This record gives sequence, C-alpha cells and structure tokens, in this order.
Amino acid sequence: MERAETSPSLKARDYKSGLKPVWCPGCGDFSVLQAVTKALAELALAPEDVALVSGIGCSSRLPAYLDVYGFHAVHGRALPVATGLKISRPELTVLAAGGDGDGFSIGGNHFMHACRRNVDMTYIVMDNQVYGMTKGQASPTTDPEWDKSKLTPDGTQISAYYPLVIALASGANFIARASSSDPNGAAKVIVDAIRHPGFSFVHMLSPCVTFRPEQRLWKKSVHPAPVAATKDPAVAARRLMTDDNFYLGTLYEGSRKPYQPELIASVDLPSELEAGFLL
Amino acid sequence: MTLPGMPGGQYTADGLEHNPLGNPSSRAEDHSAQLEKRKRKLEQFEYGDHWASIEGSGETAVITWGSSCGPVREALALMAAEGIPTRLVAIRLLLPIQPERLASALKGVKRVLVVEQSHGAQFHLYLRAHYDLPGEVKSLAIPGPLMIRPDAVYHRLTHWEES
Repeated sequence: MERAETSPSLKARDYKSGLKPVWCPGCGDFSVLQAVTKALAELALAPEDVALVSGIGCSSRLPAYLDVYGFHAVHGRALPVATGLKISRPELTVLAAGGDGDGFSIGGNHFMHACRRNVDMTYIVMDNQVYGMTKGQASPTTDPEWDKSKLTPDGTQISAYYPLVIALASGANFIARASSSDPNGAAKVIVDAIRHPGFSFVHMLSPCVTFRPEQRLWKKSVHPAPVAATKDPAVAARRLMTDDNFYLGTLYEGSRKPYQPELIASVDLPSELEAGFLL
Repeated sequence: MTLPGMPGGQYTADGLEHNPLGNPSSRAEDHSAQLEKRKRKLEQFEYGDHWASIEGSGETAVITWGSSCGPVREALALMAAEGIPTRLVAIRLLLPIQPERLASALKGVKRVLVVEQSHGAQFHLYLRAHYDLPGEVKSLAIPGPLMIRPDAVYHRLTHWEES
C-alpha cells in the first residue's frame, strides 16, 4: 500500500455509486458489493485512488455500482487491463473482479500469468459454478455431474477446475476464500488481500439463485478454515488440494517480491496523454 | 476526461451501452442518442489528407486499398515507364465516406479500375454503393492467398477493351 489511507470519515455506503444493480433478487453478488465497500471503508481509501477493473458477466457489472474509477473490460481480460494500470500507476489501489467463466475459462491464461507476474493487486472471483448471464451453462468450476443445462444433459463429465490450487501453482502471493453469505468475513478477507503485497486472489463463493438454486445451501456448508494461514507453499499445496471447497479465510500468504517495473514516462494532464494518439 | 487519482472524477468506462453520465443503460432512447453521438464523432473528425494516398495524374485511375497498394504502385510505375500516366487513389478511410474528396481526386478521370484482394469484389460494390465514380468503371478482384501481382494490374490497364 503506497498510498496513505486518507478518508477516515467515509462509510461503506459512500463507496456506492447509487446505481441499482441488475442482478436477480437473492444473487450473492449484492453481498460481494457490500463486502467490497466495507473493505474500502475499513482501509479508508480515497475513492479516486481506487480502480476496479472487471471482465464480462453478471458479477463483472460490479464497477458501475461503486463510486471509484471503474473499467468494464473485455471478456476474460480484466487482469491484463488491471496489470497495465497498476504498473503504470503504482500509487493506485487496483482491484480486478469477475466470475468463474470469465476468469478461469475465457481469461484462464491471464489468470495463470497474473499469478505468476505477481503485480500488487487484488483479484476477486465471484464463483457460482455457472454461466449465469447466458442462461445457465456449465463453467470450469461446475461439478462434472451437474446435468441441468441442455448443453450438458449428462453433466460435463470433466473434473472441475480448482482455482486455488492453480493460483498457488502459478505463483499467487495471497490466496483466500470468502462467501457472500458472510459479508463481514468477506470484507475482512478483502482488506487482508489488498494489504498483502503482490497478487492476491480471493475466491468468493457467490450463489446463482436463478440457475443454481441449490447453492442457497452454501451458507450452511461454509466454515472457517480449521487452521491459520500458512506461509509455506508446500503446506499450502497440501491444504488446498485436500480442501473441501468451503474453507473460508486466508489460506496462504506468500512472500514473493511483487513485480513492478521502473516507470519511464508520465504526463501531468489528460491532454498530454491524448496528444500521443493524434495523427 | 478525468484520470484515476483525480478527486470527484470517478466514473466507470463501460463497454455496455450507457447514458451521457456513463452509467449502463438499456433504454432505447439512450442507445439512439449514443449511436448518434458516435456517428457525429466519426463524421466530424478532421481526417485531413490521411483519408487516402493520391499519386500521379492522367485520365485513368486505379482505386485500391490496403495490401493491394504495393503491387498497384509497381504496375503504375511500369505504365509511367511507358509514358502512360495513371492516377492512384489508395483509400485508407473506408468510413465515413468522403464523396467530395474522392470526386476531387478523380476530376478529369475517364476510366477507373478498382483493384482488390477479394473473390466477391466487395470493395468495388462498396464504392459503387456510396460514390458516383466517373467514366467507365471496371473491377479487378483476385482472391488470396496469393498476392495480386503487378503484371495482373498492368495487363488489365493495357488491355482495357478485352476485359
């Protein structure tokens, strides 16, 4: 955190834009919005010093609902945009957000390399194990037996993707899981993720009540991780591979040095930036 | 336009259709207003001389674009070597159309050959849909993957009546 935490008087609601979300009633993403605003208030960050970049999908609608600088990017491409922003403007607090399809399928390659690059930013993936915006198809994290989509009437029959294991193997410096059913706990995880140097990955369980109504029961399945976060990647690997997918809290805190190239140029005014694009 | 770090300037740059404040909107009137705004931006932009490369003179002109410009230039050099001046109009800006500028570039032209790398001659059809081309207009459309060769353009120009 290079930028001082400067806005002690702001409440969580002050970080909301006031726009009404388009999400279905009961969607977990409402609570994630709540958790993000609580985290920003807890950190007392000036709204103008926070940038949130998202991909495409239900959860990627998040930036417009916050009163911070937002960029609703291209499908699966939140991470490269956020990476570029952070390395050119290291003083900003950069967040990236999206869903499981956007982050692990369309943007799967970016996810791996963002973990590997270890730029100091926080990536929140709202995982509901389904493509909700396109009306309910299996995503990378969908259980292989889930047969409720006409596209996969017998289930995908392909084992699900384990984002936390992939994140660890790829080099993420902070790995945590949170649940929309516990916005206060989720806010705390997001605070810790933002404070931790390097690439922080927050796996956010956020039910799709429309296409995966059974996920309403997730709130009964989640539980705090039985042991404290480890700093040892080997221990973390074992834990994450034997995890029941419902452990909440910080699971791994690495100590790799974040990637931050030396800045080579800057401009003082937007007009100077725009001048570079003139014919 | 504000940049991150400027207090009070927070907004979301959204790829979704939006209202003038930048907020996502699915309202038909917002969509129409933004379509008009984007069209106006493109139409009112001052493209200057960058809309096309115009070279040479003469009563015959070749209109082309993109990667076909190179072989066309070579063909016109062959023509010039034989003392037959030919004009080149290599269009860089397909939209918005520039009818006055193209008319000016083709002033005095009696024959137009439209050269393009395509099977369906869509560039030729596009030009005919949007512009009144002067004189006799012919098309030389050759599909890829092999590049158009200068001699194909040269042959069409020097055997105009046969094509």
